[in-house]
Amino acid sequence: MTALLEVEGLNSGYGRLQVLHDFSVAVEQSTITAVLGANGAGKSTMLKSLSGLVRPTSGKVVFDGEDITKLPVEALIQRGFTHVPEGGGVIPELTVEENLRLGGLWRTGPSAAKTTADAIDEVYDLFERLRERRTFHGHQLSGGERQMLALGRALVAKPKMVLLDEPSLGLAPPIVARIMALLRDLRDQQGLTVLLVEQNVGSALGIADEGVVISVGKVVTRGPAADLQSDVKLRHAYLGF
Amino acid sequence: MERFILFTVNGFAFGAIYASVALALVIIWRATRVLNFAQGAQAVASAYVAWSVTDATGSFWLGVLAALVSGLVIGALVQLTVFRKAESMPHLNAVIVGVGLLILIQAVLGMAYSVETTRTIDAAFSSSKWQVAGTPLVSPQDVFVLGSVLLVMAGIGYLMAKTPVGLRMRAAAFAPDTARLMGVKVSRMLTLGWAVAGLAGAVAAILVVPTSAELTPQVMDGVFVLGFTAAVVGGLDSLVGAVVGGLGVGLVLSYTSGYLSSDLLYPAALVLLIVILLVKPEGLFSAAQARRV
Repeated sequence: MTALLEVEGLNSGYGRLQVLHDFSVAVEQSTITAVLGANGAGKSTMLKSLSGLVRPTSGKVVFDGEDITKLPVEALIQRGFTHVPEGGGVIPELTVEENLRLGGLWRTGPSAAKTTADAIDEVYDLFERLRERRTFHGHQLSGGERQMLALGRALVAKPKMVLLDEPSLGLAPPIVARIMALLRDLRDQQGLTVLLVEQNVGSALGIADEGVVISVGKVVTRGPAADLQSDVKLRHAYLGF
Repeated sequence: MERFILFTVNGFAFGAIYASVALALVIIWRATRVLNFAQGAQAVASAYVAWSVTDATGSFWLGVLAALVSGLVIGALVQLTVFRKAESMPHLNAVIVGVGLLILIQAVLGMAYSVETTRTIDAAFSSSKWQVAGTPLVSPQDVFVLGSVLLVMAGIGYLMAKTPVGLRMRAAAFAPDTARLMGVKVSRMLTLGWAVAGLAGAVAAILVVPTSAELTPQVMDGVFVLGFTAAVVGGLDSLVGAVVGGLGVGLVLSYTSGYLSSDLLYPAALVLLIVILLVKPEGLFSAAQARRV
């Protein structure tokens, strides 16, 4: 079985500052892979390099059998590849409904509007709170609602794979638990593939199949999530708990 | 009372024109944080297109149509050729580029159209006022000016708020990276925004040139300054603000120059600008508060 996402030898950074060194990962279909590391380890840069917001200097990103390393950012969503950036990227000036509609704007053809409307309805079923607040603007939402909206917007695209950048950031534990449970359900019930970047190691490894630990831009260890969770030395050394 | 009605109607008619210029500036500012100092000059170029087409064909409305189309085209071209690079640079670069383009367009127009001919653009309709109970109220041209600007505003408002293209344009303006992740071709949306702004500017030119003695490359300079004032009063960020700011500036200036002295037109605009910047520097309708969250 080949992986849905295969990343090989990715080097990336900003100008002369190299942040990511020889990063590789393979994410199997319908699994959750957690990339863990402290602040500044290069996690966000890694995600941005996958989606092209930061251009890698070398290396290869293959998604669903296609080399997407050099594709323009805006060409990815139609291939089923979505990236929820840090903080969610909810647009504060747009309403909840408009933010969700953005997730379906890439569709073309006569049934596009209908497909997107149905997908938005499904997201509202998932998050009743968003339905109640559909006319609210992004800036009127709480942090948790914003994260739900960001995730919901990605789901409107009906993606094969979601990259998530610290969905737990700044959220209360019950909301984090809810988001993690939702990701697990989406994997189990709809076969969604997730690459999750987190500092909240416990929550992330709680739902992940595989884990990758990076430190100063380099992979220090990888393995099944359960093994990483029980590796006390590793946790002390790189994850700070 | 008669004077009050006259000044009010004139205030609205000129205010609508300032609003149109303000709208052009706001559309571009929202999308790119660039203040397009060449907007007035681009609009004059469209007015020259209108004059040329009318001169060649004898049809006033064909000239208007040509001006509107040229507004769209010039707006898009200016963004593609000159401003695309400046957008990612420090703010001052775009300001300088804008001023440079302003001088360039005016110089080229001055060379292409000799000063020996006096050119004018007629008003579309009669400027003599209808009388209601013996009081002159509004002229057909006043109605045309207000109606045209309201139509442009409604059109732009509908495009922005109700259509998928408008949603793309707003997303591209507010959060380019997020928009790209959602599949929006951001650079194309920015070009479209500049084109729409060019259209709004061309409308302003068609409406304001008939009030001047003749069509010259500098004919929009004053209107641009007042449109800029309107945009700042409205908050630079808000389309509604541009409209309200334009009408407000129009009224204030019309009363000032009517009741006090017409010499006070530009000083009054300056005072208004200073007062707004002191009392409510973010403008009347700015979304800046929300943006900071």
